[in-house]
Amino acid sequence: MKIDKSLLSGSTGLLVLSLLKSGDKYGYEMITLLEAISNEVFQMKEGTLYPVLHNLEKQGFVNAYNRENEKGRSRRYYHLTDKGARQLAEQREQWEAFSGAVNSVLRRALEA
Amino acid sequence: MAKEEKEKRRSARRRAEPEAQSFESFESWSKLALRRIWLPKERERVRAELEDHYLDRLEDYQAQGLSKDDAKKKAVACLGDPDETAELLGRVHQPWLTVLVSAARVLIVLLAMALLICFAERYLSLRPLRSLDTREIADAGRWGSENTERTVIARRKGISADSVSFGPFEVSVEAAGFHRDRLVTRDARYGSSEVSMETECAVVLRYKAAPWLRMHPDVVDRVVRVEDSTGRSYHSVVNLKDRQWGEGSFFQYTGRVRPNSFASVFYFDNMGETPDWMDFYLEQGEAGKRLRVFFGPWEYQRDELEPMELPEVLNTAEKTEPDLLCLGVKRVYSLQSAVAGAQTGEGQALQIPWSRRSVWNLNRTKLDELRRREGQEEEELPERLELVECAVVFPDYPDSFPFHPDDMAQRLQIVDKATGAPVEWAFTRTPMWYSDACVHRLEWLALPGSASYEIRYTDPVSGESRRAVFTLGEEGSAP
Repeated sequence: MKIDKSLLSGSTGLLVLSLLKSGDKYGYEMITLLEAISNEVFQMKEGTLYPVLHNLEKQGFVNAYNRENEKGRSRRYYHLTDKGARQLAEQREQWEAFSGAVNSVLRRALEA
Repeated sequence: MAKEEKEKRRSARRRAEPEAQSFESFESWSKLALRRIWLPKERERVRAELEDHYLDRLEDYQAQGLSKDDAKKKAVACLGDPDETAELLGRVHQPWLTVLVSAARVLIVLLAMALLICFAERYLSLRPLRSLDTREIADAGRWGSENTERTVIARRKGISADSVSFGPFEVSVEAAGFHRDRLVTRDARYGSSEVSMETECAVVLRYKAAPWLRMHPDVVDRVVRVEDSTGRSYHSVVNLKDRQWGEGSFFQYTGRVRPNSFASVFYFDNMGETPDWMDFYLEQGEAGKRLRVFFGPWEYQRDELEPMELPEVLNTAEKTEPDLLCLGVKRVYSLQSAVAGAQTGEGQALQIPWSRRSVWNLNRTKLDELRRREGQEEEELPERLELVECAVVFPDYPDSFPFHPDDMAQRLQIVDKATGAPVEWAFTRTPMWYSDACVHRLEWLALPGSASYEIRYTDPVSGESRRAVFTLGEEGSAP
């Protein structure tokens, strides 16, 4: 199923932060994990992911560091900071309130 | 509307650059996607990250059985729209902010370097620490030479140094020396005795401020107190009510040498015994510095240097730890041979080579404003002042007038020839004296209707009076 981009755009930051909660990850790993978890519903392009990641880094929600992979290539990993963790909790709360309200409206509309 | 126009422009650009839109390779994609990141270092970092991502995906596709070309095409396609990526990345990596921060850093470094260069000499000692060595002391023989600009070697707390910090200034001693004329005449009136003239001392301090400071010379006046080795202390005549220059006082004149530099000249007159050293206390608020000018136990008799024991002098003086220690010159200059055998007392007259009346038009508005500023009471002033100016020559100086020119000036009297009334106030400019004459220039307020004056000089020893009468505009003569 294809998802409208505009639905995704407001929540990419939340998705990225939530992916990093379980440990440090690099960009490609995040994209593949997101695809797998969402049953390929969320297919995030690199052109979308990296600006979001860099913005989160600039705001201090994530830290980045380089580490060599098994093939000797330098790979950039991202780590969720304490500030990022607090932001994640806050955004998650907002999301739950928002999605609950949307679901509630949709349910009522369908029942009517 | 704006969004549509933007999209149109983007499409037009794509049409204009068809090769860039083919995305056959990661390179062509990344060139477009990273174009909004202005700083090369930043752009390279993001490019490396995206390339790593691209290679991971490429390997995955190849592992799934795709050919290399197909895997490449699919991996590049997954990267997304390069224009959209460029816009998003450009927004995150704000170039102007980064450039501004970098420029500010460069400016700060440059400013720090400029300050260091300007003040290094002042705050850091870039010169190696060393003490005055014997060769320099031997060179001290040249200090008294008329051709040597600097007559002083200075050191600070055991370090060869020229100056000491005092408020916004670096203060140094430019010159310091005694001048004692000893005059012997065989004049009958003086009984062939030696007439010792007063000892004069002149010390020149140099005040140098930072290049951008514009200070008034008054700032450096009135902050000095002087003591000498004989226990005498001296105060500036500026601070004395009667403004008499003599024992226990000095006359200080400060002039601007450069925009940020002043020379302050201290004259000590009639000192009698010459001290071995003089301490100049620079005082301003609670801060103070002491400059010791050490004249030492040596003397110059004409240009001959007598044996000196400078190292001992330095060591002795250093125990007292002045902020700056300088070596001055104690010199005795004898006029004995020049005047021996001179006969005087025959009553040579004074000469008035020229005289004139000058008119000063007063700017009353300015004067009133000046008075108000200084809190003085207003008084009636004429619109113009008439002054009489003349030169008085003592033609047989110093043969017949073995006194200091300043003393001679004080003994001059001016009398209105018509009424016989004395002129109570006159201004004498600094006299000039030569080997065979001394010239004074006098100014006083012209008396109404008076065109003829008499100048009198009374000899302090014999009481004999000498006179010269002149009419304004004409040469004077002896009556």
